[in-house]
Amino acid sequence: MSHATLPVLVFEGVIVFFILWKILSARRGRELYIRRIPGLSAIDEAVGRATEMGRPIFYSPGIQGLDIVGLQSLSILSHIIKLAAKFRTRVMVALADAVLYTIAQDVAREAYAREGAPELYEQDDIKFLSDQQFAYASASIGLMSRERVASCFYFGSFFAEALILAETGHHVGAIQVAGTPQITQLPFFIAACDYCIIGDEYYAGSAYLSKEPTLLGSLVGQDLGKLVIIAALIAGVIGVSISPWVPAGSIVLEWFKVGK
Amino acid sequence: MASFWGPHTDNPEKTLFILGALVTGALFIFALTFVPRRARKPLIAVVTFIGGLYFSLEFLIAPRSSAEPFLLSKGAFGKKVFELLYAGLDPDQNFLSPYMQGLTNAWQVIAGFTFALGLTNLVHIHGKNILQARKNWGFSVFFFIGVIVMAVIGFFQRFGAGQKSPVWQGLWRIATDGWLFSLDAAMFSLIAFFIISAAYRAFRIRSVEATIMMGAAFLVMLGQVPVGIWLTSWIQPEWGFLYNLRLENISQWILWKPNAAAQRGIEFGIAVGALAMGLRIWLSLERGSYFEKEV
Amino acid sequence: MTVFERMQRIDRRVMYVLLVAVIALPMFVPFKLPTAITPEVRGVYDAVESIPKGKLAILSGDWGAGTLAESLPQTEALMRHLFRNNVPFAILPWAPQTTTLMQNTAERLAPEYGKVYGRDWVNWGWKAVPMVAFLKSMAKDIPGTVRQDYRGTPLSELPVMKGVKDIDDIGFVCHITPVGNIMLWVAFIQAVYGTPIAYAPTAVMVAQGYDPLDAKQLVGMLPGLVGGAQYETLLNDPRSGVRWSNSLSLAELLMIFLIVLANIGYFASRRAGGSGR
Repeated sequence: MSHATLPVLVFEGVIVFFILWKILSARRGRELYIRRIPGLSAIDEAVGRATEMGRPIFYSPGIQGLDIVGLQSLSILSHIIKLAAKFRTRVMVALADAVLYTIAQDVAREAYAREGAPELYEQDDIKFLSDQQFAYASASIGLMSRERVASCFYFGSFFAEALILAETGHHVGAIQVAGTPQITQLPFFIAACDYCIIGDEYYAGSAYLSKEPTLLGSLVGQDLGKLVIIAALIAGVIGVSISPWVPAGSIVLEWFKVGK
Repeated sequence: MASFWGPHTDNPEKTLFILGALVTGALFIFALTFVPRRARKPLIAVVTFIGGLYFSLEFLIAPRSSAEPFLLSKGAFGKKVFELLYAGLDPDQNFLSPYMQGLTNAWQVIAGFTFALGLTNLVHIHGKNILQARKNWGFSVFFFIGVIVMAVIGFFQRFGAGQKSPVWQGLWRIATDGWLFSLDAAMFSLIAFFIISAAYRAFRIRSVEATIMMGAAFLVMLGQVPVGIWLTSWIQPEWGFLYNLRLENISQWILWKPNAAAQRGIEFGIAVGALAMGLRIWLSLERGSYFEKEV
Repeated sequence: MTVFERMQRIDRRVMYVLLVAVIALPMFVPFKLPTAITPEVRGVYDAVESIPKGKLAILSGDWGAGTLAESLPQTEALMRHLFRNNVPFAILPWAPQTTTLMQNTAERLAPEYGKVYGRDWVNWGWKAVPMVAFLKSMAKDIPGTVRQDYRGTPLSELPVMKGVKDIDDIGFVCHITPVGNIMLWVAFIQAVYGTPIAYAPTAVMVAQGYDPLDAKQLVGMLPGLVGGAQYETLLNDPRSGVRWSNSLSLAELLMIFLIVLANIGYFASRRAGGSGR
């Protein structure tokens, strides 16, 4: 599909409308509630643990390049660095993409500056390791073992290297928090990490951590968007079920059809 | 035979054009470093907005194949709009599509420039390790040996006489098949060891949920491998409903039904989350991370 | 430490040694276990069987040496089937490493079936372009997008590419990959042109495939090494896939045994008043 079809246009339009509407109403001062997400709450605990032990924090944004997942990861990184800067704890970031690496440097520099500790920013702690999957995994686990990291964070797109990183983190005794929209890697993170955030909780990260009204509003808009999808699913189920007898069912199905 | 200059050796104009573009690009990036810090965020916000606007409109505006019948049925005005916006385009293009390839190429070039930054970072860190004789500096020596050896062999086996030289080709095979591929495979195989220790540690029947998860995991694992299939192979197809209780059939049901349904549910959430995140970045609303306050 | 506590705290090095032993065992002591053919594997087989005459198949891959143990049996089984049925095919690699690995596989198998490069198969070579841009462009104009094979030979000089213009000349695609990008094939090729797409992921990515399979966006799937083994069984030609899947069987049995052991220990310690870990 190279261009939006009518159903895509309609659904995307409605979801975008809900998100923007809720952002605007949140900014007008409407109180919004967000449920507790244990994985994200555990970030404070993990940073605190590294501070107590006087050992560094390891952060991996996964191996994919600059995309929405990567940008969300950097947003969470910014929060972690700000938290760590308060306690003067070192954060090491391992990157597998050169574009993301340059942005991560900026994000880290700014996060330290915002906490009034620009001198804590160490260029060498934001490391580009390799853009090769297993070379990256190998360099990362070497780093984790040599530096005896106390806390590990994995937020981003992970593939087969997920378990290699998480199990090494466990072996060095680190407290680990992971989040990825890559569903296939979730079981490995759940098995090896202390806390894991699942599915779209990943995208709730920046809203949850900053409690910014704009971001919270966007979360509520997302939930309304999901209701729209559920409505479409129900329409599809009814359409399929009644299509042999009622022509309206076939019309619904035809409307959703893409391509040949 | 490929030369370092690739297929453009016979076209000096093109080579000059490439060099010119390279120098201009480098100068442009250099010039950007002089943009005052205060002006950077608004500049980023404007460029992000224009970029996002282009890509979303390109996706949302109807291609010629859909627009043509509609516009041509709207009389002279529709015909004029069609001629203005869609004439000469492919059926699946709208008037923004022809620039897509150029923009994608531009993105590749920018990404190419940043790769040099990545390499610089590696050289900087490992160079410092060696020069200051830091702990484990020997690993950094191996880094330089690895990079230089692979680059030299890769270059000479690809260009000029090396393409037909058995020495360079043999060295390339050793470097790839012998070193790179083997190291890659060794790293991947670590997963087998790690999954054993992780599963051993994680799977404890502490609650009802954990019990269900473990039960499902056992059934899927056994249903996927020959030994599991052998375990219930005594159940015959003629036994009707009971045939469903063969391990491979239970495993298939778990994978095709509950698993696929759960995946879809999570994927819908992720897709909406990504859309919201994209919107926030496009409109520079992602505060607290990239933007302290809106620009 | 009681026996039950020990059962919950087996040293990981002991587990690793046991794992090496059970993986190596079938390589020295061969044995035969039954293989059931699952519907997703049967789907791939049937799709290859029904490729219309004169159409080209595409074996798209972005696997490397790291996942060779899973991706190679899948690739090899598919190539054997295509060679055997005299279906011409194109290798479409998404990484430099894949170009070499898939080409080597085809060259190794070709003599068995009397096949020749350029006449019976072609390697389009790795192109440094984004996957989406390539797929969209290829669907409309294959010779214009691919231009030359992996050796730099123009496609027009290769007999296998004669008459191949666009996606309508493609009868089957299988994407062999350890990465989760199959949906790009589905979104930009299957959904638009209806081309039959099959998926051959590594075992860790398998769960992702059942959603598009159930939605009939994929014609079938080869789930990891087991998928390769089942395909070999369907071809009536058991090879490395079948052999290696015995190691997999024993490894999974070991894992189940260790988990059961730990849980017995956990329950027994709790019953004895101790604390389960």
